[in-house]
Amino acid sequence: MLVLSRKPGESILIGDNIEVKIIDVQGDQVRIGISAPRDVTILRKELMDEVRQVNREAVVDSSRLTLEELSKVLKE
Amino acid sequence: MIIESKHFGYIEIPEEEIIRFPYGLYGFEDIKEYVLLGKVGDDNPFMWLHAVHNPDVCFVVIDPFVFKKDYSPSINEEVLHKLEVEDPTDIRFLSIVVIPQDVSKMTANLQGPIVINAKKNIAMQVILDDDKYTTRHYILEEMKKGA
Repeated sequence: MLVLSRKPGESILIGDNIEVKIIDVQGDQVRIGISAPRDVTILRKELMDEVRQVNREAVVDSSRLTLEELSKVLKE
Repeated sequence: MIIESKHFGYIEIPEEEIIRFPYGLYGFEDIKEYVLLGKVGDDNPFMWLHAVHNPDVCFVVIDPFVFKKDYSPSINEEVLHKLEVEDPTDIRFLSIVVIPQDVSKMTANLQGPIVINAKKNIAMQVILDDDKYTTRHYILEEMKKGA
C-alpha cells in the first residue's frame, strides 16, 4: 500500500479526476473531502463489509424451508 | 433455459425472466444472473432470488414496503443510469432476508436494497448512505410498528 503524509488542506490525486483532500484532523478523526466522477461509488468500507457479510448469511438452503412457512410467520 | 435449484429441481425459465446483475451482489460479485421464483398470488411477499448458474446460491427476498410502509430509499441518478432506467415507475425494490434458526427473528436489509429496472430486468444492490436504515431490520417488529 502506498503511504503518504499529508497536512490539512493538502490533497492527493488518483488518476485524472479523483481528488482526496484532508479537511481537518481532530484527535483520532480525520475529515476527508473527495471529488470524483459520479459513476465512482464511494462507500465507508465497514458498511460494504457488513453488506457482504449479511448477504453471505442470507444464502439459504432452499430445500430447508418454504415461502409459505415464512408467510405464515408474518401473519401470526 | 434450464436452471438447477435445490428446491425446485430442474426448472425451465424463459430467457426474458432472467435478471441481469452487471455488478453482482456484494460478496457475490461473480454471479451476474438471477431469477425470481415462487411468486404465488399477491398474499405472499416473499420470493426466492436464485442464481441461474449456481444451484447453491439462493436468497429469500421480500418486498420491503410490505413491512415498512414509509420506506423511502433515495436512489441517485447514477444508479438510474447504470440500470438504464427511462421511466422511474419501472423501478422495483427488494430486500434480502436473513433467516436464523428462530424464523420469527428474520431480518431484512433495508440499507442495501436490490434495485430493479423491471422493464429491462437489470438490477443492482445499492448501499444507501442513510442513518434511517440498517442492514438488519426485524421484519415482525417493523410490521408491529407499522400496524
